[in-house]
Amino acid sequence: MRISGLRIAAIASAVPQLNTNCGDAKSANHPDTDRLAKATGVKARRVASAGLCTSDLCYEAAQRALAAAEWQSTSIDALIFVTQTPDYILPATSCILHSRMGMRTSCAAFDVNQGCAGYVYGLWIAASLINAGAERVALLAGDTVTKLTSNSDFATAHLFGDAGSATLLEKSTLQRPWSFVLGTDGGGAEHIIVEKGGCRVPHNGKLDSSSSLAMNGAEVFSFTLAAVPSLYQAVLAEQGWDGEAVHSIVMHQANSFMLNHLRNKIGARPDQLPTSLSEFGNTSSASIPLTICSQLGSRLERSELQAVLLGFGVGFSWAGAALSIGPFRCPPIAEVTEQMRHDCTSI
Amino acid sequence: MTINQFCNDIDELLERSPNTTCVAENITELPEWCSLSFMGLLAMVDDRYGVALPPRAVLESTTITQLFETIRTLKAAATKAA
Repeated sequence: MRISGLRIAAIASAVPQLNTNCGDAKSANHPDTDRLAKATGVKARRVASAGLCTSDLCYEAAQRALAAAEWQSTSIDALIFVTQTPDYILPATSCILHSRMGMRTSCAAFDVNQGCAGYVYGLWIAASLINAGAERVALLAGDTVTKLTSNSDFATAHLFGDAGSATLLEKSTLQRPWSFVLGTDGGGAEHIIVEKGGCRVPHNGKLDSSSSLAMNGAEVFSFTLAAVPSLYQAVLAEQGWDGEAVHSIVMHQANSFMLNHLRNKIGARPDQLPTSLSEFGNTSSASIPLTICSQLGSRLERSELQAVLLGFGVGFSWAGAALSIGPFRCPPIAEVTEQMRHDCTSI
Repeated sequence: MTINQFCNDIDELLERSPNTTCVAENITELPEWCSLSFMGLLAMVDDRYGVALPPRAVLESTTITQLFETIRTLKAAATKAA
């Protein structure tokens, strides 16, 4: 799918202030800490405290992005919030963010339940909305997966960090078309799952293994090996690029073992694959924009980049985009404290 | 592609001393086996043998010999399809 007539006006990211180093007292006592850090590439993570939600991180990122682009929130036609860690079962967290951001009532707002592939899904939806007539769209993508992990599953808990992002998109005739390739294999649904808390298995008040995130690493890795190289080739073909034309391949930051293997499989150079794993861990739907902000931000302030974005994981879902982006404002990553949280029920 | 070579590959993957792994062993019951080495096995088989090894095939193999035969069968099928 090719979509033309739009540009990114700004991207911003935000993380909790609390930094958890893998050598801290809690994890240093675990026998697998060093081995896990080496294999996953995660040296530190940001962890949201109990009261801090994904919406708080995305709100702060949105404020930074709006200021960078010099937009008023009232100029936005649609707000897309991509997350698997919403504030409530209902209402949609996008509605809460809509109110908090002071957006106009004629602005559409909706949530998208996607994780690792979610940012690229969100870009595709935003691009489609602009193609359909919207002038400006805000895409907020983030997760606080650490709230879903259990310390009894150290390997999974060690991997994830929390982050939020905001990407502002608008109609423009200046940039070349973007290409998207998306896919799904629901047969893999059980391999990354939080079973309890929905309508099929409601919470019964007991916390057990089905209350937290369960991940079958081998099945996820197997899926990734099958899906991602062909996704990369498909999105390049759709855009009419060869691999050498790509300045940056920004992959979902799953873990460094997986990313290194994928890089070899697709024949990319190390300098083409920016990563943010060591500082922030796997931040689910925020990992691509967070990597863009932390690793490519200063470059994007000055020049245009030909980038391929590849999201893959929970679902199983995958999505790739080939696009020319920049120059645009990419403010420094914001740190969010407990005091910056917002609970709509307390107003 | 020989079973001795495969045993050596497993020694390397699991950081065992050379010539430690025996064909009659069950890889998932080795003391060095963990979720990380599971991913490592899939990557190694993909790299060195050009085979996408389904995780279930690893869990269903009760010996290294059986696992090796599965890889050989998958490789033959892939070669034929190509």
